[in-house]
Amino acid sequence: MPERAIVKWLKERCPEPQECRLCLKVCPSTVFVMYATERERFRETKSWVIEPSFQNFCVACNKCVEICPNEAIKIEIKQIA
Amino acid sequence: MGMCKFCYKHGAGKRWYLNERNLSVKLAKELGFEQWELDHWKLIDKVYGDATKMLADVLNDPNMLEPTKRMLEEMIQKDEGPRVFPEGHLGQVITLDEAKKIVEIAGGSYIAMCPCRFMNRGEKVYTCMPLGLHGEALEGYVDYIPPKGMQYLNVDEAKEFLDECDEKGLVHTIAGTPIPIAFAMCNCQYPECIAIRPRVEFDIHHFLKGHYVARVDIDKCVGCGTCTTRCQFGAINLSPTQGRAYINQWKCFGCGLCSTACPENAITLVPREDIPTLREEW
Repeated sequence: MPERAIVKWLKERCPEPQECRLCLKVCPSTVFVMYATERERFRETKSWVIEPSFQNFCVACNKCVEICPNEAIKIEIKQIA
Repeated sequence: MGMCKFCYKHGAGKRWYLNERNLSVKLAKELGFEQWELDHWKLIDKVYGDATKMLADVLNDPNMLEPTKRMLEEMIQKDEGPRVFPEGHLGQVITLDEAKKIVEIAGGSYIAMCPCRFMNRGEKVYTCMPLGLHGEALEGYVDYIPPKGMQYLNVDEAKEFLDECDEKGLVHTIAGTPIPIAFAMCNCQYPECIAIRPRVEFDIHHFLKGHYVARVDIDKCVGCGTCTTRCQFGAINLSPTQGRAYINQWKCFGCGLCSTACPENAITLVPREDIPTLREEW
């Protein structure tokens, strides 16, 4: 049975993704996309979120889980038909 | 036929990005794109984040892939007025020489942080070259402005900057959003680029191959392998049997990075229109 990884990013455990960005840097499959939910001109952007958009490409190497200082990333393995 | 669809509609006999009209601030204003350009800097990463999330969800169900691709292709076909990403990030690969011609026509360019590499990798790289109105709209978007403030390169500086990017191995591209305005030149890389990635991974034709195809002169090639490290599209390998570079003409996007790096000048760029089998392959 083929298996796929389900990557989850827990917002409440990751207060400042734009400062850390470690998961983005280590991912060998470039799974994560970080974006601002609100941005105003002439102001510093504060509301950032991380979305594991390309999780179809995740190989479940667990690098992001290991490097995250706040345990904000979870990877589950799911069987697909 | 045999003409790229953007040139066919917007080129007026030239390549669409070398048509002076498409590089003018005046036309962008006439078409009412001022607000759109501001929204672009405001929303580029959010819209891409939302769109790729949707795409990824869809890809979990293989039955949904073809219908979704078709829907996106249809949205690309209707190229009138402002649209959203990624189907709206219309663009094309260009060569270094073409990029230099564009800065000559545009009279220089601004410099911005690459939104793609920041959102995918968290790296701050200043390689985006927004032109005209798009560059003016950058003002105030502090996330994307260089640390020292708004920066404008004149023609000579911009050409030098393009040379540096070429040396680093970044693919030159031109973005036409909203079409027909050639609004930015980017120096991109796979897989971070939001134009290149959907094209390579999902085969969505919002981003076209360039007007050239790279070809190896096998008499000149010494098999040093320099070019194989430059291709972002996986089109080149070294033939262990022949000891020469091999370029898959169907995978080649025509960026010319291999040819600018070749120490023997063994790689030439052939116009795509001159190759019967590849002239419809954009």
